[in-house]
Amino acid sequence: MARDLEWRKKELSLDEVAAKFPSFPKLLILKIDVQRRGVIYTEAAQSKIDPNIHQVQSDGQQGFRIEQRYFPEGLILKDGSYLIVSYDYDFENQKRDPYVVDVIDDRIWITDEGRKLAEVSYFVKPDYYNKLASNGEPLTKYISSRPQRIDVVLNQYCHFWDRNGGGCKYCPLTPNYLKQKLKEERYNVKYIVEAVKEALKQEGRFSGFMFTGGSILSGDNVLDDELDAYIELIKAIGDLFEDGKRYPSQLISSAFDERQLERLVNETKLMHYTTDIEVLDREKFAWICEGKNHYIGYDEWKRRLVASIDYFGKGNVSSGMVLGVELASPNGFVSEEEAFKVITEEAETIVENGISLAANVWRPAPGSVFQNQYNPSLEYFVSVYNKFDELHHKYNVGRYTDDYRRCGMHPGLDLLRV
Amino acid sequence: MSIIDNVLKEDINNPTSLKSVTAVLKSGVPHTVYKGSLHVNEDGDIVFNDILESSRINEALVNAIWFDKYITVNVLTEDKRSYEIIAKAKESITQGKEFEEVYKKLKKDRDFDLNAIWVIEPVEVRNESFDYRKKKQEEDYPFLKHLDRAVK
Repeated sequence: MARDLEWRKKELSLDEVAAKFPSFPKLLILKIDVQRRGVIYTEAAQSKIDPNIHQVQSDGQQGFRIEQRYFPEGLILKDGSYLIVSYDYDFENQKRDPYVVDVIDDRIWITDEGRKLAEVSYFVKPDYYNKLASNGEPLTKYISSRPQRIDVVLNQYCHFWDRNGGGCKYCPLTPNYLKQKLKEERYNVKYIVEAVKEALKQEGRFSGFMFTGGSILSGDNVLDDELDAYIELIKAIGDLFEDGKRYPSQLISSAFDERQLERLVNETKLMHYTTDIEVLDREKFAWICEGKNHYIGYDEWKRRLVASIDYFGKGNVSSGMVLGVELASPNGFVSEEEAFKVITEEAETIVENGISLAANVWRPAPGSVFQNQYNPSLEYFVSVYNKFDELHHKYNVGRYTDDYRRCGMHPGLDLLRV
Repeated sequence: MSIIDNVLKEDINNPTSLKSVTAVLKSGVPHTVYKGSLHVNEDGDIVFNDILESSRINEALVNAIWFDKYITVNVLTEDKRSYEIIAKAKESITQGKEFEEVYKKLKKDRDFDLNAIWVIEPVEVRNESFDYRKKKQEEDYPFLKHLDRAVK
């Protein structure tokens, strides 16, 4: 795919979208567009990275990126929010120009065509970095971190990929795992706990956990082994915290049924449950998330998501989705207008239960099946996030999971700050 | 260069002064809180801690930084001198070494958590002390007076 040199003439610009949505913060529109178009760093910007201070892309767990380029893990904006940009960037196949992080007057800026748009700083690495577990492996193998969250990816491989065509077509995680010829599918919880203990020594750094991983389909019933693995992990880490209370923690897992949810809530001190519906249309879901559809199906996934509120309570359940992927070709929606109508109507049937939608900006990731596709216009993303925000406020969803500071991946949820 | 002179800086940084912050919520409703931590830093910016992430002032300050709204800071000294400082939100610090140092002190001294350290930039200072404003009105607007106060 060659760069479309005329792309700027074919869609509304950042300024034009901001003018069309005056109640939508321009800084958030920029965040969405950086996710959408990607970002590169000038040599001056790279020279601002101090490996003794900053969290760089070559640190920690790999999954979304395997190129090992020396980039910051993320950017911090002046509103105290984070911009996660720790992805592989396909320099060869981009329809649009990326944003450029540059240094101007000794300060670091996100720029476009040389214009300063937002001053940023780089993620500061946590104290546990460069330390080792008792088996001699780096602690960063077992946990990773956002500025305020500890992330644990329990299973590195997703078994939906076992069936030909079963993996979600936007996801690069398992393709990257296979490309790197990794063998250790799951890490020993003992070493994860060692890493967590070390991380917790840093006062004021972390305010929550996010547990996730590839789906595990085995067990007496589908997902039973995945459930057992998470219960072992969440219990082991829970032992570090006060008895009789849940601790700030989020699990993003496959969609468990009621029997499994009951075990999860009763056997652990988990606080928040997330299962990602990914695509808000039954037909597109079946095509894009073929494995999820084969084993569970759209309607059942959605039913289980809603049912989980009975176990974790309103405000403690959310669902992730990959916004924009519904327009992928060849089987996605043909027009952004149709996609907007269908997915915002479907969104209300989920959000009305008090479930927040943590929507990522779809960025055709290198390694994924959809790697060479075009993502939608900035106007489309902002329109949908704007509608989702109306729904989130209308149904008073929980606002502190996957938010601007614990996650940083979901610009739409930033809107719940006001 | 900051518009806050050394006298005002001393007044603001004096722990006996009462200091409030007002910002406007998305709904348009103004919201005011008192901030004991409010002080002027070496750059001449106004800095204060926001303890509770769910606070309304946090919402109002985010609204200010997103939409370039004004914030006001009011200072009342122990001897009743009063100032209003009009400011713009500059930064919300939610992580990093400075954040962690403040967090550790708050935890140790008061068993508090910390949401953010807010930095706001003063753009205008008004002396709102009653004696000063009364004298100024008498000088600038002699028409503004009840007649019985002017009779011989």
